[in-house]
Amino acid sequence: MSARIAPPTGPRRYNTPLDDVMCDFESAVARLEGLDPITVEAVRLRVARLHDCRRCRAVRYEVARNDGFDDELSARIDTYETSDLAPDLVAALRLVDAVLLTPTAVHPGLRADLAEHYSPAQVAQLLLVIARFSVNKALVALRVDAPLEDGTTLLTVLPDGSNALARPV
Amino acid sequence: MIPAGIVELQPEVSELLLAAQDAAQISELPHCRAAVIAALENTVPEYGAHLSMLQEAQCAFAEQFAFSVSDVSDTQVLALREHLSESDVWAFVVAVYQLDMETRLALLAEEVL
Repeated sequence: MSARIAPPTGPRRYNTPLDDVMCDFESAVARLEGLDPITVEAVRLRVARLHDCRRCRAVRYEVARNDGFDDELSARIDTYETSDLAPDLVAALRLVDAVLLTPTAVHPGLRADLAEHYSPAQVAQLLLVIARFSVNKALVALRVDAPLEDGTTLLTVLPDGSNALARPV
Repeated sequence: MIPAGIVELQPEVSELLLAAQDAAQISELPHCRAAVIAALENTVPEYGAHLSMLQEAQCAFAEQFAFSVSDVSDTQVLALREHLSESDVWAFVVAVYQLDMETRLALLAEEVL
């Protein structure tokens, strides 16, 4: 799969003023503390798989792994409606699907489903998390979403909200 | 634009997202906004004016981006490259992401917040 433009040159992609502003937004979302790491990781991977982002599918957040996010949990995301995932995770994944798959036909029960598990501020944060991770659409569209290395890569979030790609799992 | 519910609940991040929308100059792409909305609503876009070759290429790309990003074709990107440098293509695609996400957030925020 060939890249359609030259790949990004660094962690802030092409280091343009636009990239700086975009990364500032993404880092700010990463610094929000209202959601647990497993929820964020589940949302991130659902977004990655729906957009078919090769890079995002190949990374795992270290903080989520340390909290127990493993390959088995990762696999259950794909069939979350019939899995035994915790109800709060299912609600978050339903929101991802609503944003990405059915934004004009939202299930009437979704609001109540989310309200059962999340505060309004957390729901707003979920929407921003989905927006943050959906930036991968730009990479996918131009085929500059190649994984950074072979295999699965561990991702660490630095205090400023930026990402550090660490060692393979 | 950021939905009022998101701004109220997450003001600092909303300000940064708005800054990103402004930096992407999405207000200069009304034809692409129409293409995105039509793709999400499964309707025919109404552009209201004759489109240039570049604008036609931009609309085709935006529609595919919104409908199914992994199916954006080489042809659709090459059509952009006939008019835009690689750096301008990247800036345009980021703008389309902003249009796409702005539309989705507007639809969802009303339903869930």
